[in-house]
Amino acid sequence: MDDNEDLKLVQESRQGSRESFERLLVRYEKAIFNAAYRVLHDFEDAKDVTQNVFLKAFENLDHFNGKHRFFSWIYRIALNESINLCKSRRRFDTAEDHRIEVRNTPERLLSRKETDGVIQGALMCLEFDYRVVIVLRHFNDCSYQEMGEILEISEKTVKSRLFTARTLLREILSGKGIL
Amino acid sequence: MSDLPDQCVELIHAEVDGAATARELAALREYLASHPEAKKERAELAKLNDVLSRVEQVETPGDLHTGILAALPARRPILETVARNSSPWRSRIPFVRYGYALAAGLLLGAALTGVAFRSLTPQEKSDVFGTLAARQDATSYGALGQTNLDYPDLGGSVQLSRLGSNAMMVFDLHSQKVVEVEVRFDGSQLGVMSFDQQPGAIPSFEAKEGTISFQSEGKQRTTVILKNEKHAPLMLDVRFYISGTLVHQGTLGAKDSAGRSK
Repeated sequence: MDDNEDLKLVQESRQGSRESFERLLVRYEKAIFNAAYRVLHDFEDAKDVTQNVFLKAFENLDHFNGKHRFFSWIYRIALNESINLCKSRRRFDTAEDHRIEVRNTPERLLSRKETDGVIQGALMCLEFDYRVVIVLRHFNDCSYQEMGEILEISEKTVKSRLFTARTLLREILSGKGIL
Repeated sequence: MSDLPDQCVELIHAEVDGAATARELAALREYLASHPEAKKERAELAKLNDVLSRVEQVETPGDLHTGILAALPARRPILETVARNSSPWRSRIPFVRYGYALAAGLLLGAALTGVAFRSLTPQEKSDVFGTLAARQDATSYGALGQTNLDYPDLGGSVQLSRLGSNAMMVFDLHSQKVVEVEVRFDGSQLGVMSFDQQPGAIPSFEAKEGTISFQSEGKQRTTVILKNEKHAPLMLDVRFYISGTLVHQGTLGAKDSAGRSK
């Protein structure tokens, strides 16, 4: 995404242009929805989070610091909304909640959809912090620096968290016969 | 976990993530040539990367875009940051605030011999903003209403709107004193989804089943979103207290889950 274009759209939105805000919405709604879905594994929750993210962004544009990237700011709102949703429901998911039966034998290869489902189930077995770094890196294609900005942690912590998350995910997916 | 040196693990991950420099890649290649366990680690990580890269994106719901646009307020709010006149330690220790409120309440209770709150006038008992009227630019999507609070110690406004399956309350309050806000609702139908307070966030928010409460001081915007998964009719009892005294009470509501008045 073009950061300068984002800043221009933010500035125009601040001055009252709904069209500019809609262009920001077009740019990021799919990415935000997908990130929320991967983190929450619930279509309706992801929809609610996405709505809340853009409403909050709209209301708080004056608080956006132009020194940072808009996408980092809006992703951060999305993750905070997702965390709040998890907390309010007391449902930080456990491995038990997302156990997926897989019979992956040479005679029966998993369909694309089934594989996606198993991967999503494996993701939900990870603790929230680990799940988030996998989602940002692998599904939202964020760099270490961008992840650090979004999560407000150092690049060193990003790497450490990502490496651990991958190790855990590999173990789970190996057990499911995906790797 | 692998027993590989940290530097090697870091390089392997950096290579997979496209974050390694040419010099680092050359060093890694050299290392891999003589360390089969490192080569195996790299192959497994590359496989994980490949599997994850083939996961398909989820299509966004068809009504998401229009829903968000319809829910946007007609105009963006203009928030002014004002200096808060409370001391930091009071903000950090909410019990102290509650202690003051409790003491004031007990004194008042003793003085009035059981009359905890002053009698409300019919006007104060009425709805905060009366029957909800659909916002003109929201058509059938949401309903939005607003009322102004105009008391010597409490000013501002309260809004209720529907947001997807949720109900959103926005309290724009200004008061030189600490205002305790309490919202009661049917806890079997509604649950708290999120809470946000600007500027700053004081640790005064409490939620129990069917009740939420928070404090506001100075000029603050507080946004509370209630989850309404069962699409139940909205009926919220809202009360504002200052120093333990009920200043305003009203109900926010909509007769159907879409927020429309029938």
